[in-house]
Amino acid sequence: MTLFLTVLINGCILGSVYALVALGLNTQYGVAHILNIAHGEFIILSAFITMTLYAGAGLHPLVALAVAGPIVFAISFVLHRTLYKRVKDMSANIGEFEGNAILVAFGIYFIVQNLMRDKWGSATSGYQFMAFPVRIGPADIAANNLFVLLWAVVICVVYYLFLMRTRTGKAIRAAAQDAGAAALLGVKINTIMALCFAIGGLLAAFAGVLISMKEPFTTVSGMNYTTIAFIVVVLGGLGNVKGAILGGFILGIVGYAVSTYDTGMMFAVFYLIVLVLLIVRPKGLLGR
Amino acid sequence: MKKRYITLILAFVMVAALALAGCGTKTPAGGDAGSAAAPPAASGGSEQAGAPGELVATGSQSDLAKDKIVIGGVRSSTGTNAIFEQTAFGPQYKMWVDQLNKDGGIYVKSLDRKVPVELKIYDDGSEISKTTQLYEQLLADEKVDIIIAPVSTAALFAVAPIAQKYGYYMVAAEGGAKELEKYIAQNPNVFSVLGYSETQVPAFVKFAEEQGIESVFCAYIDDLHGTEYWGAAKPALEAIGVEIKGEQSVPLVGGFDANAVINAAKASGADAFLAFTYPDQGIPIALSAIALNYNPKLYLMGPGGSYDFIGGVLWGASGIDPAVGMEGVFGWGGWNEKSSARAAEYSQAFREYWIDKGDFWLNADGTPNADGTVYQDWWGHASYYSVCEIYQQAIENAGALTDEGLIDNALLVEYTKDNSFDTVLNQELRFTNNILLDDMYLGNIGQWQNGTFEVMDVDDRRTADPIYPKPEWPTK
Repeated sequence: MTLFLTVLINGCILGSVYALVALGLNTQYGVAHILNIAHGEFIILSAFITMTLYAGAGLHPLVALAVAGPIVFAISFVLHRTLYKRVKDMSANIGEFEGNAILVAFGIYFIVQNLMRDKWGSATSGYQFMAFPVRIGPADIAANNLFVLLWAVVICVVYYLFLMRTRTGKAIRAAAQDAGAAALLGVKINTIMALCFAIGGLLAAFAGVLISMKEPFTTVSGMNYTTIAFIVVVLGGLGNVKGAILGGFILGIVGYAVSTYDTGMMFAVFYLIVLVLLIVRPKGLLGR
Repeated sequence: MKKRYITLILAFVMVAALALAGCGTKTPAGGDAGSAAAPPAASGGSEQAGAPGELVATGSQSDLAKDKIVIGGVRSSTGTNAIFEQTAFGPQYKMWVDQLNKDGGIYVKSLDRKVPVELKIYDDGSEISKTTQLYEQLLADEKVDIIIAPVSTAALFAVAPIAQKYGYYMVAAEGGAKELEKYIAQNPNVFSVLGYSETQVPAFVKFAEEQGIESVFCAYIDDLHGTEYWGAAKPALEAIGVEIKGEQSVPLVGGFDANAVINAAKASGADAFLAFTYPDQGIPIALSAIALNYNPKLYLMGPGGSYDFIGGVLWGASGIDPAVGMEGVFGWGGWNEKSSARAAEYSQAFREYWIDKGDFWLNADGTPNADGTVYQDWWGHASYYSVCEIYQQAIENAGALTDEGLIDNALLVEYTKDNSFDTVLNQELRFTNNILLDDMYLGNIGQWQNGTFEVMDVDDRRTADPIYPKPEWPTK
């Protein structure tokens, strides 16, 4: 029972971060058709911004949500309206655009990573925040992890409600289902595409802020999160918000359960899940 | 929709390859090594350079024309291994070359004069395929005078046969492994200085026996380093009656959950927790140990545990003095300013040199050190600077030019095999089969005590009494 509870709680903590990381990528690919290889770099950029604000200026890490979020949102929006839109205009069809967009994303990945390295160096960075245990039943859980779980869930729920309840959210969902039809119905499709890419960046920034509270990072560790986001997106289903959240939590629980026996096997099991899914159910659990 | 899945699969493969590229740089690369170069020539050095003695062309045109010595190297200024270039051997060779040139250059015996030194360093982006390609370029096309070694153990495996093929002398700085011993035997132009499991694990086992440690839990990185250390430690500890209460491998790629490791270790109730991991894994594991208040009697951090900056990363923004936070934590290696007068002299010189250039060591918030602190690595730095001293003394005592007007590397190899060196590590440092034996080191294990990394070897190298059991992690 103790082991079950420990796995469940820690798995949900891990899963909440995975879900948040994947939500951003899912939005960018599901609607804007950009498989953003540089997604993890913006997560790490936000983690460094948070650390600088906390360790350097003594501000609460949550303040970084209001700093890193808008910064990455603005960068992403501008990137879409300049680089990606131009690439899209020059592409013959959506398939060609998706291929070209990956190449652009690779370029951004290297640029952002090297700029961060120049600014923050190559050493592992991190800071202590709420570094004390909380007893839940028989399990000791790090307080910072519970804090991250809480905020990750709040962000996921707010984003889900935004998509379901707001006019912009409906326009995004319409664009995701059929961009051509949505445009005919009056949706400003280019703006929505740019907005989705920027929202993806915003979610990456939020993930980076939360991740920095619970684990250290380096300027080259962004790709780890991009990889996890890919796995979750494949697991949950392309372009499916509920799928990304469900996939994140499933992967988190499986990942922690495997880690209890051997942490080194975690990624091997993740890759196995992806392989099996791509063969058996390529749409993912809740894919369209 | 099919096209989108094909795109997704392709992208996933690319991402996975990119993510795993970091692994390759730290694991043995037999394939890389094999493809990097043809089998080493039996006497590569003398083939290019001729027999020792014949090449000392005192007063020749090439001697007179020699106006600089070019030191080539391929280092990882970017990518996953950049941390080592930034903080390990990088600051040593840059300081050494700068100091040499301020003093007129390096003395070359056959020329009987000093010659300025020029560095030609390429960045491999932490990719071994690039490392080997760039060394080929440096040695075959650009024909530098001497070379320094690449950053990682895996890169050493790949570059050693290239150095051997072109007859170049190479003294490795970072990187070391038991497997490297066999490899060095096949590539006798290559020497290795850094201590590794062969000397460090026995030192820990002796310590465990001395302190009566009854049980251990080990988290080890799932690459050559971790498996080698744990592979050596496990049977040695069992042989002295220590119970292995648990073991876990930790992935080289990040994103793993360190809480799982610490919860398992905590549940095991072992006396000692051993993290045979790199800083990228050791730091999250230590932060989890602090957050979950896991306090074993002994806590050992692998590579990185001996860095001054570790305390800053773990405790920098906590309001707790890093020296207090690190009290009692163990790490590999071990030397300090009490180890020898020579070590103290070097340590102070290093600090003085870098005090105005401290941007290679950053505070926890990413800013350069405001207090002018220059951080040391109390495992590697003495070894790395000794590498510079070995190069210098070999050239000073055996330096001569080949017909091509380059430094004769064969003479340096011969000199290094047959002579001892006055270095920070040991004033009579001598290689045995191109590696260093235990008695050449200032220490193999150390423990943080009041901000000093004290040597804990169970012999006369020990610089303080051990603290065992480790005190509780401090809280505010």
